[in-house]
Amino acid sequence: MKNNQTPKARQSGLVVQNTSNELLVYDLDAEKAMCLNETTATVWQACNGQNSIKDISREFEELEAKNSEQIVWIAIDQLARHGLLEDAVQSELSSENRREVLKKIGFASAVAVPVIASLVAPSSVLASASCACAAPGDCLTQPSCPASTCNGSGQCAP
Amino acid sequence: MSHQLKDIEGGRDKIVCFESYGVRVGISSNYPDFLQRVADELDDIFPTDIAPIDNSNIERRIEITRKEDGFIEFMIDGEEVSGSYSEENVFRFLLSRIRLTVAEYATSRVFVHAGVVIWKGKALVFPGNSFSGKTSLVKAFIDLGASYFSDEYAIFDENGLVHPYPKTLSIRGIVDDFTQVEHTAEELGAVTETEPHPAGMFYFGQYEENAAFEPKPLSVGETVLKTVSFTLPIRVAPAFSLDVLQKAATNVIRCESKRGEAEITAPLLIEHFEKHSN
Repeated sequence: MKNNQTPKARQSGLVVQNTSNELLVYDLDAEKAMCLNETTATVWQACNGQNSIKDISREFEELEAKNSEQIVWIAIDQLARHGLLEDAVQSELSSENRREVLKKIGFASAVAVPVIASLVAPSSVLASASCACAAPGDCLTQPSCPASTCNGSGQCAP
Repeated sequence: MSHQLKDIEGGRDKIVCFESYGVRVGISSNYPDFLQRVADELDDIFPTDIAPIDNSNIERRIEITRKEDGFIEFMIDGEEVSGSYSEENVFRFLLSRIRLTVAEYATSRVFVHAGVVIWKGKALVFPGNSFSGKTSLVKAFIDLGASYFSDEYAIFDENGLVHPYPKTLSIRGIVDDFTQVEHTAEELGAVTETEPHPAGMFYFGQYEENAAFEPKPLSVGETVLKTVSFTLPIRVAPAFSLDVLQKAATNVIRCESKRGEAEITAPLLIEHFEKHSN
């Protein structure tokens, strides 16, 4: 029954950048950058609101990947967790199942384990790791001080 | 080039205006001596791209106010940033924020906090925070004959080429672990490159005492994602930033590894670069 669900990839509020075999996605609402590996990118791009999980898993059957449906479920779980699907999807996998499946994929599959790496984009001040402190001790009260210890001239100490 | 203070019509405050990397900035103050000191530093803050402009169509406004009791505070675009009774502290911090403001809003460039040297015609880029050892690594490369490009920013254009930001190198460890002493690249025996170069390597490495250099290759996507942490305009211009970083990180050596002393790591990085580049 759950395999009849037709997940839809979120379209709005995202910046998407293709690399050779990965997708870079920037969530404008969450200010979060993500890197989808090839497996996850393939699943996400197949989530058009019409393809069922079974339909999507055929992409991997063509690659003779074992456990193709489970691979898709792992990817769908991750996509949902990172806010990359329009609607909630009822997961097929319990956490125990997920661990088992990940083991199986890792050892026996021609397809890479689905992975989404992510990080919250820093503000410009944090990106340069300078703080907003103009005097020693300011870092304790300045919310923009990333380290809470600085040398009092706008440079954070380790 | 000297940056002249101008009167603000209908008031006693002065203003100095400049354009750098496409960003039009106006800095005004009721404390002209302090403002002149800031104006005198502008060419050093932006060594490759700065020009005085008139005070029309200013995009980013910085206001410095000296209160009657001597407290100096400044605001950027109407938001209070910081203040202090120490003129020196405000001065140094203000310069850092002027630099950040341009780096964040530059329209045609992506500023990444990184050290950069040129080795055999390619830019070797080491993204990292302050205190991550960028300058030590840059200096170690210079000692091996690399040309100097930047110890502060890698500036990428729309094609992914790296442009220089040849400010003086800020070297810590001479006075104490925090105080930076400025040296020109020439004082350290290096040549400063001034033309844009294609990237040849992205290396991410945090110093750890006695750490072995064991480079792990990174994909383009992983490299861009790691670089995002040090990319100043990522929130203001995410699409442009990702596009530029992806171009810059394609067809280059990409790796990460903990590292020990810079003098030990630099030759290993060169060996790694030369072994894996075409």
